Amino acid sequence: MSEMSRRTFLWITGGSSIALATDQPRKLVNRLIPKVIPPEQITPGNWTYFATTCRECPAGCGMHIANRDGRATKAEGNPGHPVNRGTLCARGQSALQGLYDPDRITTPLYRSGRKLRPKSWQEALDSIATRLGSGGRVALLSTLQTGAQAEVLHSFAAAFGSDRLLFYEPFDYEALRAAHQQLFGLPIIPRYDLEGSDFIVSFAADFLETWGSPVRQARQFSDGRAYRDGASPTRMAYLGPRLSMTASNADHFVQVSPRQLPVVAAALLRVIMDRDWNRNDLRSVRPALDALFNSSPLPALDQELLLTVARGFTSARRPVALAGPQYGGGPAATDTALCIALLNYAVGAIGTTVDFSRPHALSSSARETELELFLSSLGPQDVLFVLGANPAYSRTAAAERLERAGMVVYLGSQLDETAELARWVLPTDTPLESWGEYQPEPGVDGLMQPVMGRLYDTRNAGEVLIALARQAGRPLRTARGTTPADLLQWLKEKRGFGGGSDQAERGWQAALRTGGAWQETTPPPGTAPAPRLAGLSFQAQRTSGPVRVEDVELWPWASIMLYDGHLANRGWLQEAPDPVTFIVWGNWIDLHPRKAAALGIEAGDLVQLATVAGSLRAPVRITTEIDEHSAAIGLGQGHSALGKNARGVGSNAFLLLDAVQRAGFFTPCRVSRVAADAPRPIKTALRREQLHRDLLQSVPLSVLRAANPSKEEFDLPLPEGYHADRDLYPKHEHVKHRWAMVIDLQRCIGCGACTVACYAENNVPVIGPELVADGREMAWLRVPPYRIPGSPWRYAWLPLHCQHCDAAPCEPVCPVFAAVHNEEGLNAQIYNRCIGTRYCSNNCPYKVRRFNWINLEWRKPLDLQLNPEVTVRQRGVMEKCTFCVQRIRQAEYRAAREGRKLRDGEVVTACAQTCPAGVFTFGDLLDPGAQVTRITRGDPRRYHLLHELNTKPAVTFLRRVENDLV
Amino acid sequence: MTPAAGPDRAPRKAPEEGGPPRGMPLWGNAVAAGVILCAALAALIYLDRLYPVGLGPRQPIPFSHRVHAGLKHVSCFMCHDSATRSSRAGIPPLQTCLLCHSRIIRTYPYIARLRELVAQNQPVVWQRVNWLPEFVYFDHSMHLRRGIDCSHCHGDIRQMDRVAGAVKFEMGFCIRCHKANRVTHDCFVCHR
Repeated sequence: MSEMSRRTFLWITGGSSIALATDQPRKLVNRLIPKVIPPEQITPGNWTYFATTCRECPAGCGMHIANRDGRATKAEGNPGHPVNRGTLCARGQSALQGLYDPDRITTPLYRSGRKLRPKSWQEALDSIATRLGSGGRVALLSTLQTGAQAEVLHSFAAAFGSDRLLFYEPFDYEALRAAHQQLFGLPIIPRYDLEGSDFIVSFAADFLETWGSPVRQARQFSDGRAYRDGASPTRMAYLGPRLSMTASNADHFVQVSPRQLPVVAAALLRVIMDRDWNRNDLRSVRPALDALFNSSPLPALDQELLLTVARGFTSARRPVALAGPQYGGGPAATDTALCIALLNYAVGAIGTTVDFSRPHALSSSARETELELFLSSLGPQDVLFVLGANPAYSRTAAAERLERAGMVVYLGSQLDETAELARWVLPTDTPLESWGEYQPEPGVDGLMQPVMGRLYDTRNAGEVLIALARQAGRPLRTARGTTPADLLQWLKEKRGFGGGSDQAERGWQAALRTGGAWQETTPPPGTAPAPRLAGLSFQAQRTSGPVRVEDVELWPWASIMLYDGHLANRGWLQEAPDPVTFIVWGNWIDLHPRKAAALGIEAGDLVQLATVAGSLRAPVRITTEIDEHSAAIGLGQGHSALGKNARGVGSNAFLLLDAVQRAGFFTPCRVSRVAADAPRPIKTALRREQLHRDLLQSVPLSVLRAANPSKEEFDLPLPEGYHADRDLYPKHEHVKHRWAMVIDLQRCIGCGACTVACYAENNVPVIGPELVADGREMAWLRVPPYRIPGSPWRYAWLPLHCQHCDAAPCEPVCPVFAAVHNEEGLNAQIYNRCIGTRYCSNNCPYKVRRFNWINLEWRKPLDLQLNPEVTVRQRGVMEKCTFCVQRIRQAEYRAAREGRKLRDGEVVTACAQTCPAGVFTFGDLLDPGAQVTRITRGDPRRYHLLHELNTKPAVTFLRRVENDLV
Repeated sequence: MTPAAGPDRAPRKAPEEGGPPRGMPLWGNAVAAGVILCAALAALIYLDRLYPVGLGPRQPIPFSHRVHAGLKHVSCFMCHDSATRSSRAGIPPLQTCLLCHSRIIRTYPYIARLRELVAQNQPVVWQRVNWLPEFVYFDHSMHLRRGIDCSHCHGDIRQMDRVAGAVKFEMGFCIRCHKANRVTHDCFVCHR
């Protein structure tokens, strides 16, 4: 490079200083685009809520979607909905990331050769209609639908003379339905009501995670478990091979290998019958039970524990036994479900906690035999419509059989494994953009409405079918004989709001506002079906245990975040940690230490699992939390399509499953070591031990009942908590409010819904596996598990976010006053002032501050989800929980506009709003009538985390209650 | 340094004789007059005589706040109706314009253009004048409740043909007022 001359130097410096001095102020947004005609309900700068129904799993919770200036930004539970009563799980929270998925299909695609080419809707409809006109036979495979959508599907099949229409759900409760068919003649999934249930026996049913209606069950379970002035809490026993989140919440965990589950269930039944503790007569099943014990020997069990469980179960007021898992059938699984149905019958639970009169919607999903028949019937003459279902991913050997169909038309929003096989891929609306309805159980009739305008050139799946049928000259007819033009019309007619009269329209609008129709109080269960006990027999053949050392039983489990895998492309759920292991972004194989030692497998190895159906490789986690002769792996990962976040993360355990469903409970499976340098599972909580720090404290129930809790120091985060001898800094006077929170650890089940809600509310970025592995996760709120001292099987969770200390260690070390104590007691972090020294984070004893190491880009259109009330932070800035200050401000402003004081409970943080278990209480400590004041000042279980540091946190924890009385 | 010796220097040219007559040409006068006029105009603008409150960016439809708010005394809240109940004042939808202009000066070219846009359901894209950085959260309704007049921040809109930013929205401006009125100094009020 030539030397710069003096003249050039002066020219550049002079020029650039002039340029800088005269530069225009930079504007990011400098256009204002008002509406031409404003929608009625929308005020610029205010939120509008639309009621709809969550379709992320078949539970059918009611949702309110917050819409701001035309874009949906937050999902919350519908407080009036009977299933979830205003709360949501992590999956429901992530519905918005399904809507704004950057990998969504945006236009109709046609496959020529290996490539998908964009086409117009007209071309697509023409081509498919022609094919249908020229003798194509219709077959339909859809995700579970009820109501109007199901009617459209049935009507479409009927219009084309087809009887092949199935609702495909990977989690189909096959065993449960088979057992109920055998015992009651009803192949259904009853409604399990845990309300007021005081003893729950779960046979590997993860009812707090994925089994049944998890949000409702979590609420009911937590309500039963909560400390209520000494009342006996609900007890739960979990029998299964792996310590799941639900299992770690149990009072009694019995580790049983999958093969032994039916025998153990039968043993429990026998204990009850031997002692004559049953309320209903079961003598006639005795021979069948004996035959079962003859064929498979009872494993060595803690008889005392079995007796305890049996006594608790039979002496309970409202006992219930749950049969899991939700996937897989086969004789052994059916036997287990059968024994559990008998257990329920024995204690008179049928007709009280188990209600057969209100079967779950999943009862109409496809059974195993139907699916097999359907898949093997596909041939070159068939036009197969797949609506949102992904059998190519979740069913072994389904892909090859789907390919046999002459033409596969895929209607869905994601380019998943099944869409990869399709000739036509038609983009459909996500549930948040669609009209529709969903009825999870009789009596709960949820409505769905579009919560914002369409993002792309998509259509409702039902409308595509209606249009297609019309084009093929066979317009779809409702049961009433009409031919509605679209799904909305269909829906209105079905619900009796058709005709367009004023009254009908008013009724329709009212139904939309409510979110559907249901009774305010749950009706009592219908009459219990009578079991056919005589001639009952178990199917299990004599099974021998694994012979060779490398043989194990496979135990695939459903992940609480990813469910059946269709959610795998959502960054929030991938980055949300698994509750028990705290592993993010991927799955792993659980192996017992004894088995690992026998096979020479060490932690960090790459291990292969092989069944008759297929094989997979994954890193191993060696733990006693899995039964010695089993290997467990989480379902839902290992996509080869779906999108950028899902592709190539983890391994697909579904592909090991299929042979299982025909052969037995769970397939024999071979474990072998492949390599020594597996990618380590990424954990965001490195240890689960408390190391005697007593972070997560508990108190025995007997002590609480005695009502003489030890007098211990507790410094309120108020001026009265100031001690001149101990405090270095002056006290803070708060004029109007002092915001504070109470976290009831006894209620927390560890599900992590709050974490995901916090991501959604506070624009917390998803930073991806590499950076998380470097310890740079951004979660403001995390719920790490801690082992309860003295018990190998029990974990408890500690929801941890900024404690908003009164004497905050982060504040005095900030050189620029970016971390400051605000007038309402919040520990504020002012992003535009922060220069990124990270002193605050170093000085924070709770380690809840997060630093932005990179400038994160929101992949379009994920940026549309950003909360406009919260600043998007950039690189070099520290951030942390703000107690949802934007919600506090909104509530304050609303109160001020209405000229009144803030009411207690008016400010609800995002975590508190979504928590199904009711862990969080938020409020104002200066309000003497506030619930948070009452608890913080007077609850015998209260404590501050790391009290010895004298930080005086605004978050008060309530100790867990150890039920030592039974 | 001494200069080189004299004899080396080139001889100086003698002044030319018999050039054109001295004095200004006609076009020169015109230029001079133009310059003086421009200077006068510039002085007027510079000294805030012509546009006492500044002149904002050109808008697609030359809506004059001077005419509407000044001459016709239309209330601010007639168009910016969400100011009292929301954080944002809101830019009126075109429908609002037609409340009056479906009857008043219907054929005026820009009103005709407006009606055409409404008929086509096309929004008008206005140039933004007043803006805050996105890490600042200002709430119109709360300030109006305290009786702060719009003109305190937005200047004398009644004199503006093309709206201009009257005040530089910097933190000092906010803080001065908050200090003077003894209201909150909480960082978390505006920054979150």
